[in-house]
Amino acid sequence: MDIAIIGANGSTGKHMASRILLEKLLLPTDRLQLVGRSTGASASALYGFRQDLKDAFAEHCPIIDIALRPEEIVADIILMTAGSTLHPHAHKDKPPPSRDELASYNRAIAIPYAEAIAKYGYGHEIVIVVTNPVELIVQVFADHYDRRRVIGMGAYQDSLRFRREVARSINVSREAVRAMVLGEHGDGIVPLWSSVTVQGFSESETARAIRQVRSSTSSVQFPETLQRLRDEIIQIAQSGHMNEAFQRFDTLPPDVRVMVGPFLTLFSGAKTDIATANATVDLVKSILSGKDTVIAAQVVLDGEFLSVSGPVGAPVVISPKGWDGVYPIPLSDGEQQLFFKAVQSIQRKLLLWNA
Amino acid sequence: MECIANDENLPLQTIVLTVEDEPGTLFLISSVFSNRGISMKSIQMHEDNLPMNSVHLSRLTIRFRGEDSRKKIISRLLSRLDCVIESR
Repeated sequence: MDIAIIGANGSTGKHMASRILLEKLLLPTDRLQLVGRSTGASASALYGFRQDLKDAFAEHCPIIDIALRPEEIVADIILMTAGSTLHPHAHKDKPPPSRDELASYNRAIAIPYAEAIAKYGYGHEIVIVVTNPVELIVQVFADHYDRRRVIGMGAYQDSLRFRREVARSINVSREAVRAMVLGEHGDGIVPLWSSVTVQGFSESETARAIRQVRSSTSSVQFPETLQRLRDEIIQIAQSGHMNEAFQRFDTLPPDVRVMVGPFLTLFSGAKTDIATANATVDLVKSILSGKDTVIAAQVVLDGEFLSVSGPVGAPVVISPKGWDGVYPIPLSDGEQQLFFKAVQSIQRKLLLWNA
Repeated sequence: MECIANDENLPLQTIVLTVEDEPGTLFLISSVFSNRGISMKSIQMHEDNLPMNSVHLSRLTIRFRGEDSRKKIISRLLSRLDCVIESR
């Protein structure tokens, strides 16, 4: 088994590499490929990073290979994490890049990799997309390669966050909560309250617990509530009271915290790279386990779920072959409306970004 | 893992490698095959006479049964090993 990390010199890529070695996912005869660009800092820094990894994990280190051109990528699982990210404090004198600028920049980075994997790959690679906007980059890879082997991380990570936040609100462990977030990895997230189950809770106990903690009585009200509470948090953070902003954040409903949490983390000057890397490696472990597992992930649909076509966060069954099909999870009327709204939002943005 | 190596219906593939003649080279090369459930049908080693930059080189000819796509990925994987100078 070989794993390639595109964008290995970035902070998320480095955390992924470190966690892969820490968890001994690869045998000493397997290969971890660190992929960077021949121009730019990664061309030299990756050699130093490799040395650091060898120093840290000498006893059980796999072969660590460095590739500086897209055509050199050879692996069974390819983690796409190259690209820029939204960061409000990246340049203090300049405004942060808009989401449209980010999309255009990251799309241009992704295309040569998608083309190379299609041309030089052997057709059995699984591509896990971490780079945002995840729907756009999933579309880029699926345009060139087998769409069933392209999986976007957004909804998977949102679902992990949702489970954690629900668990926190009702005082149980995350492992005890099953829940999914579908739709867009961004403002168009669709938290599926109807999918929430809590180990040890009866249906009526779960329903009562949900009523007490969710942000709004129906899913269609969620975007408005999210917007209102996020604006409130931003105002506190912008006034320089970061501690107060996080204290207020802790009192928000769990579905709102799913969205506001990463935003506030970035706003504070920190990154979400550790959580993203951990979630990605968890997904890799699920794939390597050989078991069919149901997860929420961004995939390019062709009518398999609610007759939707295009990239969107959907419930899928993953296996060592990629995603085998969708899992027919029932949605409430409100969730379905929210999901279709997210699909439309994604398609509008893709039209703009692909123009 | 399913072992496809003994399926006589599969085409016989040949990969020729120029490798550095040093301890561990053969182990790394055979691991690429074994990690993917492929058994080598034959392996021949010829020592090259001329060292390159004072590194002694050997030529390995490896035969195995598998589809063309398997040869492609195996060949590409082998070419990523530091000890492999050339794979064809």
